[in-house]
Amino acid sequence: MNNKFDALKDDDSGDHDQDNGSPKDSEKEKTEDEEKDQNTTKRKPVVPGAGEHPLQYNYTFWYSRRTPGRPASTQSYEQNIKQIGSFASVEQFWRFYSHMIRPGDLTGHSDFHLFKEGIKPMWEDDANKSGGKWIIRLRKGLASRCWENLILAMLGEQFMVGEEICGAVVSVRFQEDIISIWNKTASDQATTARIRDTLRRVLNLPPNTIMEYKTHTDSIKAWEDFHGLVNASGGR
Amino acid sequence: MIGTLIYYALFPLTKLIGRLSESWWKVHPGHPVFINGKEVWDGGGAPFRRLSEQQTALLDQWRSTGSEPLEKPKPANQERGNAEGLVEGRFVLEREVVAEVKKEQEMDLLHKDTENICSADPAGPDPESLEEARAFSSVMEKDASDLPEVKREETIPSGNESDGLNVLDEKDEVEKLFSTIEWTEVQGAAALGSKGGVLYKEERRNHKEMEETTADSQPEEKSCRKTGESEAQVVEGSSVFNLSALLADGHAESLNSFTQFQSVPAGWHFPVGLGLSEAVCYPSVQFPTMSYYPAFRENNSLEVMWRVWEDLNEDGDYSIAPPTACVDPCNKFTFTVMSYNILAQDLLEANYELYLHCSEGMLAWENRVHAILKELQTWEPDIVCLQEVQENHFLEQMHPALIEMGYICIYKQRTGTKTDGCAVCYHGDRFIQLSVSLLEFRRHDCELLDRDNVGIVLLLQPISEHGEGLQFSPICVANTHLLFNPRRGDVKLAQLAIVLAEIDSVVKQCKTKGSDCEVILCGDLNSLPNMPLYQLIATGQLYYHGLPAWMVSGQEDLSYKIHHRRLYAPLWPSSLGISDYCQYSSVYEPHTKSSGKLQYNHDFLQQLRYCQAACVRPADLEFIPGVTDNKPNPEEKQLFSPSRFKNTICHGLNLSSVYSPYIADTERCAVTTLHSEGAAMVDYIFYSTGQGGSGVCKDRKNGLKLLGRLTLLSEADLWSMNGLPNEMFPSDHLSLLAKFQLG
Repeated sequence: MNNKFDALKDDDSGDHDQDNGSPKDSEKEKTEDEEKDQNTTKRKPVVPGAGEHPLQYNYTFWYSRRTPGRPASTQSYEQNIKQIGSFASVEQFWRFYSHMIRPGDLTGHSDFHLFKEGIKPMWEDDANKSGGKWIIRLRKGLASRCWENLILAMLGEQFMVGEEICGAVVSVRFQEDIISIWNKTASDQATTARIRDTLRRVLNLPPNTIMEYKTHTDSIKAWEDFHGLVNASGGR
Repeated sequence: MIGTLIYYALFPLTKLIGRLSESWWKVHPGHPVFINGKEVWDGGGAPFRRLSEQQTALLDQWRSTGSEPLEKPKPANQERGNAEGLVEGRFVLEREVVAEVKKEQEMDLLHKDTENICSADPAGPDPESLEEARAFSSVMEKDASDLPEVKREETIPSGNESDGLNVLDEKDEVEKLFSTIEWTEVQGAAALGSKGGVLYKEERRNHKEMEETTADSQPEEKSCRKTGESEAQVVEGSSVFNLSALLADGHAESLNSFTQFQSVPAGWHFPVGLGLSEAVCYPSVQFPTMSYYPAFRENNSLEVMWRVWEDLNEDGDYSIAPPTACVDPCNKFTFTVMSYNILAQDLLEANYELYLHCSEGMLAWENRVHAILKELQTWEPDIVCLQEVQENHFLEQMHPALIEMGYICIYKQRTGTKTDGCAVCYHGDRFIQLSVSLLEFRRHDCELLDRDNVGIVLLLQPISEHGEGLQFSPICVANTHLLFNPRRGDVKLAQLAIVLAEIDSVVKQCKTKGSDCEVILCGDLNSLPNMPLYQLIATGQLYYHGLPAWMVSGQEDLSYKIHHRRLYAPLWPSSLGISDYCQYSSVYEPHTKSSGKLQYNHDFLQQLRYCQAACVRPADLEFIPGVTDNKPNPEEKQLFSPSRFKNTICHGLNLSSVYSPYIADTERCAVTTLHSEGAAMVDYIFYSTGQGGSGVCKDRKNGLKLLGRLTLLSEADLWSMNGLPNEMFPSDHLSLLAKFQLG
């Protein structure tokens, strides 16, 4: 059952999809149940404080990091990803954000995820399963600014694509950093185009920046092919 | 090059042909005189004489004998200038004649058509017109004796019967010339195919409108649908026929300007203002070189000889189908916009040294206001954006005249003690005003914005002429006159940002109501093409870090100076309430849109970054070293602020300039202003192109389509007319005029 997680942890191919911070395992949905309970009991529902500026949606920060060296083979992706906190207002967002390290200052193979509350940063989440993501690869030094611009645009509902946005990820890698934004419906070209155009505008990207759209089904398939796990997943 | 050759080669020829045809007409008064619709509309204007078949046959004979090598006879200079208008018309006629010789069947058709026009015409049946024509030529004689020098050339053909003999005496030369025309014909066809093509299109439409006018006996006919109908009738003829008739109109037009120029006796009357498409069909467009010779002095209407309407409707295939706008009048809205800095008299007098090249009379306000109003009457733009409008002159003279012309005007005087300001006037029967913002750029709390410039931002709703239920997008019209000071690009940018932010806010309000909004931004920006300020508008962004302030406008090269004021972030204080996106920061204050979304923009969110609530560590935040062990540090504020990272200002309106910096097909710079210290393009009309996305969004329908524009002139052109202001152009700026299509 844990094969995929193990493989993931062993994976050193720095520029594969899971490096965008969203390794997947359908299996974990079951194993997760306990953790889910744990989370829900631990965290009260978040609401905007008095006089605060409410956001259109509540969001949750996540953090994941590949354990340096050989990862413990028993660890799942699920276990490796940590909820940092949820917020419902602009002020609450800044509280978390200001107490977090800038992505550019993170060490190692780490990711920050910011997803709408209730959506897990995983390909298999109901909200994500027919979705996809825009991927922007950045040379070192740009991630902090781009990430900030990206999540501010997302929180401020600048993408104007209704409920389509699921969340955003920044992945710190050895030679480059990657930011991505996930949406619900990969087949909705009008939406993905609008997201791309908004990204260009809000990120203030260098003109030669390459933007790539990838559906999660492709990501899963590529991941499985890479790890030769087609059979394993077929058996799920 | 080709144009020049054609010009030099054809000028004498056309002159001779002109004489020939006129004298022939004199000698054979029995030949039919065809009057097209134009004369009737004019209330009996210049008769138009068409060569008969007999004549063209003779010409044909001549042509066949002409076999001598190509030669370029030098025209007599003194005549050239005087005869420009007529020569143009005749040149076209001449080419036309050759075409007719080749195609006699079409000729028949043509005759038939012109006869039809005559018979349909209540005011001018054939015999009467003939008499009018005679009267006309006698008038010309009379006038010629009054002004012998200027009109000598005209007098000869109309007054002297023996002139035909003169022409025959010159037969040798004529033969040479005909060998020339054979050559020219080929070249000319090519030239017409490329450069002149648009001209014909315009003429064609022009013709249709005139025909329509004839039928309806209305002085002006603007309705596209009606024109379209008449077009349908005309199109039944062959394309050659149409062309011929059109060229005839072109000729008639030239003659008209000539007759207008003559001191016309009482009882003759001419239209007060030519409609746009009527006035623009001057064939002289084919000869840029023509404009180096001075034209008639006393006649304002001749400005169109110099500035030509350029039709840019790339898919308007007039030779096959009627103009697009007319085929489908129900879902298109076409309108014209003029931007014009009319040179406030107070400023003229305060900077008199700039206008020492001008005669006193030319600088007198009474003369200038007359000419300015005349220019407006000539073009009748649907929207007029004026700059340097002196308040007292506006109130006393211009406003009443503009109201008379059907305009509704908004005026904004500059602040402080300045006596001039900006005005936007729109035709009350074409637009409804939805909102108006009067902008003052002076801000008392801002050292940077201490200048008295102003702007106007209007939101206009086009009135559909045809459609019930059809609603066009509103149009946001912005007019401004930015600071002149060439050293203070920083101020110019801040002023521009205010205009852009206001436009943005207007557009957003439209979008909130669910409609698109097109944008026209025009005015005197006191900045040169492709310089940073222009770039900001045209490309949507500007990286300004370290830019010398003088370079922003590029009006003068001040690079020799030791000390430059340079641009560094922030360009303007945040108290101005305008972001680096040239948007009001407060626009995104939480507001519920129709979608019910809570929107916040970047800058608004950043404002709350270090608010008290945000600096408290969340109780439930797990402490992970290297991940969640950061502490808010208000001093790092600069770290991610746009200024620190971007050094860029931008805007989200997709704007393109109507005019290119160069005269078409030349390397000469087009200028919009000229005085004794220089000439440059500083006035613009920018319009929204709606090319927001690429690829996927390609078939988005919004955006304005540029259909045409009134061409600009080069500095040399203008100096050949004694600079600005002059008899034709009453300001030290030229008017900018563009035609757009919406929908």
